[in-house]
Amino acid sequence: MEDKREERDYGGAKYGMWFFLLTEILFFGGMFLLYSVFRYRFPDQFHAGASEENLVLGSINTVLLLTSSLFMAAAITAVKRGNNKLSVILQALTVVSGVIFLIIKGTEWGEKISKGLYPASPVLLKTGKGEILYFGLYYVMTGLHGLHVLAGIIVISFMMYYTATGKINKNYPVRLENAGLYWHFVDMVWIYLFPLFYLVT
Amino acid sequence: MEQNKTREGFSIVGYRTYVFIWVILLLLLALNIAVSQILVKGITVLLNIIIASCMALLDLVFFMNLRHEGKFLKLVVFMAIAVLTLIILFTFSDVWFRAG
Amino acid sequence: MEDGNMDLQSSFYHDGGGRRGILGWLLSTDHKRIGIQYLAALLSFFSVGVMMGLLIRLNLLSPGRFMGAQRYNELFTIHGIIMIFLFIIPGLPVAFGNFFLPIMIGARDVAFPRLNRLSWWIYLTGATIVAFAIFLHGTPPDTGWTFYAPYSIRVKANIALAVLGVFVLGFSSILTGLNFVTTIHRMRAPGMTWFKMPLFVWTLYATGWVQMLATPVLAITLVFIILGRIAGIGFFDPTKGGDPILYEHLFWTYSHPAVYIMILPAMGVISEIIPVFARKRIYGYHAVVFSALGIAIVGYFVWGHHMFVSGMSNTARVIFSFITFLVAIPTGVKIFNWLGTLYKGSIVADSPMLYALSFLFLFSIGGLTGLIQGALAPNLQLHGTYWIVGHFHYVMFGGGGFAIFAGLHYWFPKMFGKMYSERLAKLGWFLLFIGFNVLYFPMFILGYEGMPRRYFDYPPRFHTGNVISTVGSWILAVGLIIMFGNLIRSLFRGEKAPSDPWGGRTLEWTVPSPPPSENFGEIPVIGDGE
Repeated sequence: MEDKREERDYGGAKYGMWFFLLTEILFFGGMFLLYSVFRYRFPDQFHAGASEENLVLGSINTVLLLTSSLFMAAAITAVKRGNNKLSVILQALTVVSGVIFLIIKGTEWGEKISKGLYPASPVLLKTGKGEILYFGLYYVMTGLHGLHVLAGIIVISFMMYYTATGKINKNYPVRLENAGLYWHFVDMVWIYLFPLFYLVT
Repeated sequence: MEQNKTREGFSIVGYRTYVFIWVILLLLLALNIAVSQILVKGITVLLNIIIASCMALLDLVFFMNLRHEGKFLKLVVFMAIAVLTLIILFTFSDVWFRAG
Repeated sequence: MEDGNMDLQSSFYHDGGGRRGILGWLLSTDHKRIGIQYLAALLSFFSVGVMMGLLIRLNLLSPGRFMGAQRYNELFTIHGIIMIFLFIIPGLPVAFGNFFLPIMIGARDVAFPRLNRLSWWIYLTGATIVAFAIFLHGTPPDTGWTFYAPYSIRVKANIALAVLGVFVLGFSSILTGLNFVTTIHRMRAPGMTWFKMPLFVWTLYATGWVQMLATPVLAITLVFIILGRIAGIGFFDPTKGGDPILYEHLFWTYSHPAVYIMILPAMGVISEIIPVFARKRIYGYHAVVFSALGIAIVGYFVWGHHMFVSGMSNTARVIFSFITFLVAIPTGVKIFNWLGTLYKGSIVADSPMLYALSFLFLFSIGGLTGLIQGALAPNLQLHGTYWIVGHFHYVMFGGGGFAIFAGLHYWFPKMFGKMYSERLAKLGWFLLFIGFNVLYFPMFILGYEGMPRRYFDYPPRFHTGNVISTVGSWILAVGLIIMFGNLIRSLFRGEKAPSDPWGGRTLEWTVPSPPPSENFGEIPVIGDGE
């Protein structure tokens, strides 16, 4: 009974996802707050820490997420036009982009860890306080972001299944739209993370 | 393109629009990177944030379709961002002005 | 239309949604069943919290006789965690909000019934995790419910577990707020415009926004504590460049709005009860609405008043003190409007009204003392003393708690289909009221005289005040026993309740007591006459 009612309230379902995303803004916001305070206090050491970043990989990752957002938005248009098959393909491309993003991120993490730069490591503790904070923020922020990417990948995989079986269709696209909203939000967080960790001059 | 509204009145955005926005996003990304390679310390981070915010705004308005949503949703999105901004600013009223 | 004497047979109690017994409750998506279960859980946790409070007072009667300092620290920590995160913050929204919000706006359920059920399960999970933190092998948390860093990062105690429990509980809160706000936007009956909504619904709306936008900040802060403990992340650790004051900023950025989560619905309940029992429309409906929204918004930016002595800059202190004074304005508007409703009203002093009137008195004391401690100079003296303990118990317990009791007595007939003994209710109220003031008022004096809070012992000159306070706790306890005993007994032996025992003006009084599972036969259409 609830199912049918939720189906009928397209607007309500969208509100629900938007409201959830607003909570995520505040959730990530706490991390951005810490970042801004600590960078304000240790500008040079943040620069030193950020010199460890691989600008090429970071840029590729940004392009990947931006493109995945394009794929996702197009996937929704496809469904609304009745083209479920195209939509599934586009969603798959979104997922693939997300997976590659995570692989690249994992490589970056691996690189840093092999250099001994991880929270509370002896190597890190010998550097300056600002650098310790920088790497702490790096792992926490990209880590939590990465978890959100992973969650998005899982959700979109489910959406692929629903689209392929017709549960998501041009009369009932809201689930895919909501998944899209979530994915775009995850992209948005990265749009801010990128300059904060890769473009620190 | 073919239809831009479904039976129920959901607005459908065409592929071309999305690709166009994507291109602009990539250009802004390139700009952001360029700015950080060229400019001076203090200003760069501000420019970075501004450019990133433009990108985020495009994502919000076009990809997330905020432009087709009602006034209420636009208002609450703005309010959430405003609340976060103010929280950070108020915290800085402490951090910035601490003696020593 | 409605049959006041409809028995339980056709009420929601007998519709398990196709499931039998306890599964019909635990797996139900019916907002009324969820509300009842929450209520049972809340009151159980409240009882545990009360017992902890009594033990705290027992120690302060004779420090060291019954327990040592470590145990005392654990006690007030757990007392705070239970009362705040398991009782008062979920409080009115999950019990009465769940039960009555849809009915009051003429809907059959909330916008997302399955999400509602998930919120309930998440609440239980969080409570279980907190219980593990208390009883599992290892030291229970002893940091105070505020978990200040760096002590909370370094101490050898079940902090990560406790904090994880609170994190999970926060999720439940966020989802409930999301559900309620969407419900109010999307599911009002035809003709139920925004400014015809009951005031309780308005406060649930404002509260829902605070739940959504403030709780995530606590969530990330708690994540930082857990990461600090298990991964050595040192954002609040000076030896790693961190700043303990930042912890306080992040923590109070949530925890101050949290008190508005506690009090706004309480004010909503009072706004429902006073007009009914004064036989008069609420004075200044619009002002009451806008003041609720005003409190919610302004309340976001006062958190620094918990940190005046922690080392913040003077600039910040002045700003936060100023805004703290600002938030008193919409609060004062509400008090004025309630008094305006009473004025020239036809007062019926039944138990719901007695609790509502007590709210006015007790919350005003709490609020006024809040202004005193919100001024910078007095705060230097009063921070960390028993004055603060007195203040927050007056607002949270005298305000929020008494509003819960008021709501209980007001809505009991509707929820359970039975009437309680009014005489016993009055007796319980009387003892509660006396006990409360004897318990908490001395704290203002003790605090002003310099007795610190969260101290297991104190100099002899504070002895008398503490004795009085502890005796007050015993009177309060007797009052609680009588009050709850009356209600519990009436569950089984009470007279059948009519659909409208009080002469209410909102939609819940038009349906049978207790309501049928679909709430309404036909969705009502709200006319212009309201």
